[in-house]
Formats: sequence, structure tokens, C-alpha cells
Amino acid sequence: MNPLLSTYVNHPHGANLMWNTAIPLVGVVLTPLTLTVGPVFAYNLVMTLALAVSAWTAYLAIHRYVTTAPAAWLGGLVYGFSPYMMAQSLGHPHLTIAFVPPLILLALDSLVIRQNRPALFIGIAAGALAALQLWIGEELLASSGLVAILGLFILMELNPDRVRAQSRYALRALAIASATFTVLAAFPLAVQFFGPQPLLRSLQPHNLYATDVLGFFVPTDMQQVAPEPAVGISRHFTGNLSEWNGYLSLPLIGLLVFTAIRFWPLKVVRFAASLGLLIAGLSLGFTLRFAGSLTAVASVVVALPLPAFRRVLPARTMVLALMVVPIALITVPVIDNLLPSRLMLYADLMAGFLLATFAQSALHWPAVRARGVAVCAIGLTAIALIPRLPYPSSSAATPSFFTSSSVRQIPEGAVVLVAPFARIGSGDAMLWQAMAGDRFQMPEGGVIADGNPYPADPPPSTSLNVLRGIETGTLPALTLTEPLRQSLLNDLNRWHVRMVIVGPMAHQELVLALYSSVLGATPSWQGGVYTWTLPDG
Amino acid sequence: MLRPRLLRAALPLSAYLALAVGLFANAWRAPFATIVGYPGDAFQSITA
Repeated sequence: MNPLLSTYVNHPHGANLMWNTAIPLVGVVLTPLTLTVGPVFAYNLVMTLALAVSAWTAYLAIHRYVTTAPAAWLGGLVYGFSPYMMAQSLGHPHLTIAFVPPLILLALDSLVIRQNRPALFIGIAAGALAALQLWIGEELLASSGLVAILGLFILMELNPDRVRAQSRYALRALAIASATFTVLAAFPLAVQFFGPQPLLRSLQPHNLYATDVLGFFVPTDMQQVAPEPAVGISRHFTGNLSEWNGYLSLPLIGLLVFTAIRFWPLKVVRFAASLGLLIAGLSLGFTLRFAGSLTAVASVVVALPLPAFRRVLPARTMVLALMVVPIALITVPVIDNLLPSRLMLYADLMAGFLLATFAQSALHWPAVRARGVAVCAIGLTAIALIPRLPYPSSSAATPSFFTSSSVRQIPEGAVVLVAPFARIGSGDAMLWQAMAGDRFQMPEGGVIADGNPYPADPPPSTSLNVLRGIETGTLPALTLTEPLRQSLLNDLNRWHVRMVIVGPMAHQELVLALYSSVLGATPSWQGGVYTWTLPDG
Repeated sequence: MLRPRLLRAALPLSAYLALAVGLFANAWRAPFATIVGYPGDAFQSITA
């Protein structure tokens, strides 16, 4: 049995979990907790630890350069509680469990710059970290790899005199890292690319999820300080709330600019400012969008002023990256699933480095008044970045049928059709299935699988069309014709459904009437749901 | 020697953890029946 393939959703086709966001390693680690206290508690714990541990590893990375602990702590805060994290915490744990990228940065720092440990040790550590990220979530591994390559080129352009001396150790350690990664990642990558349902087409619409030009300055609904005129603008940004990740705020941008100019001689500032600026530029996507209006202007125009600053900035790398990467993100298979807006995670990490550098320096300024201004500036930044409070949450109410002994009426592993029909945007049935300890399989589910149309609907079927139509109100007056009845019965037969369950949902009475007619029987009411038991075979 | 170092490392983590629990207080008031965010729901609904 392959743990990276499942037919518990999308039955009988199932899904290749490596093309989904299954966070397999986190799932395995939390299994004892999930089995004892349930998936909802486990999920809440993951979402909470994701922020704290990500902020902490960012703190550790920043603390290597910023020795004052409170200053480094502020830097970690900017990363772990960034607008990116706040927006993605709405439902994307694979993107908020982001504690590995700062550790990869530490490893690369040891590998490329410090080189004060055996190359074998650093190489194995870097490769193991990359594999760890793969087992948590592949998207962050891909974006970390992209940012690491950009960072290396920036480093080389900023320090050309050191490239030759450092390259031999670095190449040896990188080769060891690659070998380590290959060993640890061979199985999941083999399942993904050579297993069932390889999905080499693009799974995301191109040039939609990218930062608006105003997105760096204008707060969204995820910020506590978000005046109505401002959110009136941000609500029109392309994409959706969880993908509006570009917000930095005016106070933070002001501090970053000040820090970059004032402390430019510091290598860490030159690197963080250059890489952060580049990532922010890349997050704009292929073409610019302004206040939600997509323009035909290629985002590479932001590179035009860079050559004028080539004496101070790594302009060659930045211009080349701004020309090549946006095209790669819409043309190169697999890579074209990276969403530009999500790159802001790394810009936030660089912002954390810069803010920590500023805070450390400001703490030691001799003039009391200057220190006071600095504290006010940091305070203003903190206020601007306060997330929306209370943070949104939703009910995980589950009919008692799924959490009591009633569910044992279903033979272990049998197929059950549950309404509301699970798909992206309607996950109740999947929650109930998890709360039932995965007792049964379902022909439905919000998963990405071969043959499923975007956005990850289950394979086309009459049941999907009818149940979705009734639930959403687009089929308010459905007439059950004989062909329709036969088609719905055919779905149940070909899926080998042993039970039909109708739980709490919109227009429940219409679904009950429909399946009573289709099955020629009235349902049983038990544990908060209506059920029809079907004969085996 | 190791203990002070561990403590120094654990202190910032504890502070972040306290912030995260406070941030998600809505979910932690009923952690078995309320879930952080809107997993499985349409994200756009939050703006409605």
C-alpha cells in the first residue's frame, strides 16, 4: 500500500497526494494526536505551531547576523506573523508551515559564506533540510530553491572577489547536498512523476495570483488597521484574500528604505535589501496590475531604473531575473504552478533581517531623542501589521452519526456518497469523513487529480452536477425524469456506493426528495443525518 | 552550560507561541469544534 496514493477521496480513481497539498510528514507526526483527540484539534495545533515555529527559525537565522536577541526576535516576528502568513492561515497549512526556509538559509550561509565546518556535514544538512521541506510541502521547496539560486547570484555579484576562493568548498558541499536530497526524496518524487496520475499540466491560472502595485501599501481585510477606503481598493485586487500577500505597510517600507540607505556598507543589509527588492518585483507576476486592473505592461518595466544603480545594486542579476523568472513562471512545466504572490514569504524574511538590523542599531544610538523616534517607528510598523482580530474561524460542527458508534453501520472501507457533495469550496463531507476516522471512501472530494477540471472538482458526473446545482441554488426546480434517475443510479452502481448520506446543507429538503424518488425509499434519520443503505453489489 | 542556551533559545519560541495562541483564540476557545480560518470554504466569503 502506497501512503502517497489514496482512493478515500475521488473514488475509484483516487488521487496522487504528491500533486496535492497533503503535508504528509506533518500528518504522520501528528497521527497519535489525530487518532486520540481528533483532526480538528490537530489542525488547530498545526496552524498555531506553524506561525510560532516559523517565526522562531527566522529568529535563529537573523540572530546569526543580528546579535541583539530582542532585535532578532522582532525580525522573526515580521516573518512568522507577516501578512503572507495571516492570509495563508485562512486555509493553507502547506504554505504556513514555513520553518524550513530560514533553516535552509542558515545552511546556505554555512555552505557558501562561512565554510567553517566539514563540507560533508553541511552538505548532508542542506540536503536533508530540502528533503524535509519536500515531505512537508513541495511548493515551498520549489520557491526556496528559486530564491536560493537568486540569492547565490546576488551574493556572487556583490562579492566577485570571493567567488573563486569559496567555490570549491561550496560546489563540493552542494554535490553532497544534492546526493543526500536524491536519496531522501527519490520515493516521493518517483510517485509524483512516475506514479499514477502525473499532472504535468499547469494546475493554476497564469498571471492571476500576483501582487498588485498598490498591494505593498494598501492593507487588506486581514489587517486590523484597514480603513474602509483602503480595503475598498484591496478587495478588487486579482486573486483572492488568501493570496493577497504583498502588504508591507508604509511604516515598514519607510524603515526598510531608511535601513538600506543608512546601513548599506553592511553586507547583510546589501544582500537582504537586494534580494528582498528582487522578490517583491517578481511577486508582481508577468504583467502589472493596478488597483485590481490587469494591465498589458510587462512587470519587467520595474527593472528599467536598476542599471542606473549598478554601482551599488547587483543590477545585472536583478534585471536578468526580472526578465527570465516571470516568463518561467508561466511557461516551464511544474514551475508554472508557483504563484508569484506567494514569493512574498521570502521578501518578508529579508524585511525581518533589515528591521532587526535597524532595531539593533537604534538601541545603541546615543541620542535619547533619536532612540525615541526609532522606537516610535517600530511601534507604528507593529501597529500597521497587526492582523485582523479576532482572527477568522469557522465551525467544524459534525453530525453525531460520524462520531458515534452509528458510523459502524458502514462496512470498513465501503464507498459512501455524502451530500453536500465535496469539492473545492465545499469541504463538509471531507471533514465528516475525517471525523469518522476515515471509515469510508467517497467518490467526491476537493482534490487535484488527473481528469478533474480546475478548480479541482471531482470528475464530471450527474451526481456532482445535480447535487452542486441544488446546493448552490442553480437547480431550484429539478424535475426527475427517467433518464436523470437512471443516470444518478448508474453513478451509485459504478461507484459501488453502500450508503447515501445527506447531512446538514443548503436546500437539504430538495436533495432528500430527489434521492427518495431515485432510490424508491424514504431515508432513516439518525445522528443528525439522513441515510439510505444500499444492497452490496 | 547547555541549559542556559536551551532556555535562551526556548524563550523567543514561547513568546511566539503565546502570540499565535492569542491570535487564534477564537478557535482555541473550542478547539474540538472550531477551526482556524476557513479550510474547505470559499475564502472570498470573508470579505462578504
